[in-house]
Amino acid sequence: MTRQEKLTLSVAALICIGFTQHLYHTAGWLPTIIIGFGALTLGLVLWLKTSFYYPTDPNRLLPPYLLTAGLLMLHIAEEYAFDFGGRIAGITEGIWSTEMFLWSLGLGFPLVWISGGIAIAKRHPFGGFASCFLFCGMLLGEPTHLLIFPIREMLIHGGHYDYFPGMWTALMPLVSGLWGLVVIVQDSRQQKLGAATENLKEAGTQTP
Amino acid sequence: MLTQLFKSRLTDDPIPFQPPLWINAVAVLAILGTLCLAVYIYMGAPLALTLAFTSAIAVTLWLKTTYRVFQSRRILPLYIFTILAQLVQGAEQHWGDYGTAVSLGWQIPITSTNFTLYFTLTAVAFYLLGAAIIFYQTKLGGFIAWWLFLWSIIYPASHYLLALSTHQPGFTYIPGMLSSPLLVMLGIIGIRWILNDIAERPKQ
Repeated sequence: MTRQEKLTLSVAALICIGFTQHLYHTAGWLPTIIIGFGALTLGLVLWLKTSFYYPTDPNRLLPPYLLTAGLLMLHIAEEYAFDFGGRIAGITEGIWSTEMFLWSLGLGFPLVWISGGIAIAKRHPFGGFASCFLFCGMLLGEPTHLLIFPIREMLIHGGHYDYFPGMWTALMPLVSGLWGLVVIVQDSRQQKLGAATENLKEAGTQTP
Repeated sequence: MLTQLFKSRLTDDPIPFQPPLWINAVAVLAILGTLCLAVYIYMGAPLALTLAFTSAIAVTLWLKTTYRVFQSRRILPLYIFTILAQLVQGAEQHWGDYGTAVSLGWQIPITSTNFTLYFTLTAVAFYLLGAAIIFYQTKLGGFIAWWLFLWSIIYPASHYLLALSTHQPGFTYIPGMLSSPLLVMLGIIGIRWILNDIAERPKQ
């Protein structure tokens, strides 16, 4: 493991622990499970298993990443406009408000995943982490706006299945996120295969 | 009789999606015209004029440069860094309640929440989608790059104009002022990057 890889892994682990802690103390257990464990921790594991040693080709990864990042930001705008923070606090024991949601997921955390776009373009290992947690987050987090949040709200507060903030834009970044996940897995397989073939060739030339 | 009604002369031959190139310029003008009018109706003349001024310069420079030759995707790290700076300025503006300062200073009917929603969250979303368009080296991508870098120079100036228009003695802090120099710097670097990149390309 190179010095750059060690440093990036440490930064990624710190982001995972720090942001999960922050979510647990403010947003409650539901966003902690979805974002902290579902997106960040699973993303970290996927990154270590795929693009950690073999960063994905930026020409293949950047289109789905930028599309997902843009669609996610639109989704966050919808959530902010319709008080996602307050509604989440109503279905967990969290203390989130619209303002706290804005500072956490609207203005603070996007700095991390937008920086990921620069890292991907430079083929820096951090781009691998950012892409893995963003795509995992879309896969696991976005369907909850249709399948978990409105149903939980209905069970707690009564009434019928109804609109939950972020619902209309939730599944768009899921589509581009799936595209990105396939790119990461395919590229990693190809690069690992290529590296194994190179090793075999080298071993063959060294044998007398 | 009824089946005859649905018959046509269409074929299933593969046809690439190739609208004429000038459609890009018409589309940009149509979008900007609508946007400027919407901003004028809902947010008033000062913001609409800033938008129209930026749009006019961006369209002119685009037509003279990256409308003729493609916009290189190598600009993306700088472009994304400028988006980050826009987000940082959005955070500073929200923290200092820039929406209220603008609404009082220039009589613009906009709340702080709506200002952050439109000018930070939605704008950043469209800039990021614009980055994907730049990646594919489309004509539209060239305009988007010009727009972001010009807006990064012109929009921060409004903070200083607002400070001057308050007519208060001494320095008046307007939320967004601290991050403005970074945006202006990135805007200038971006414009220089585009012009240098075009100049360095072999003449056709």
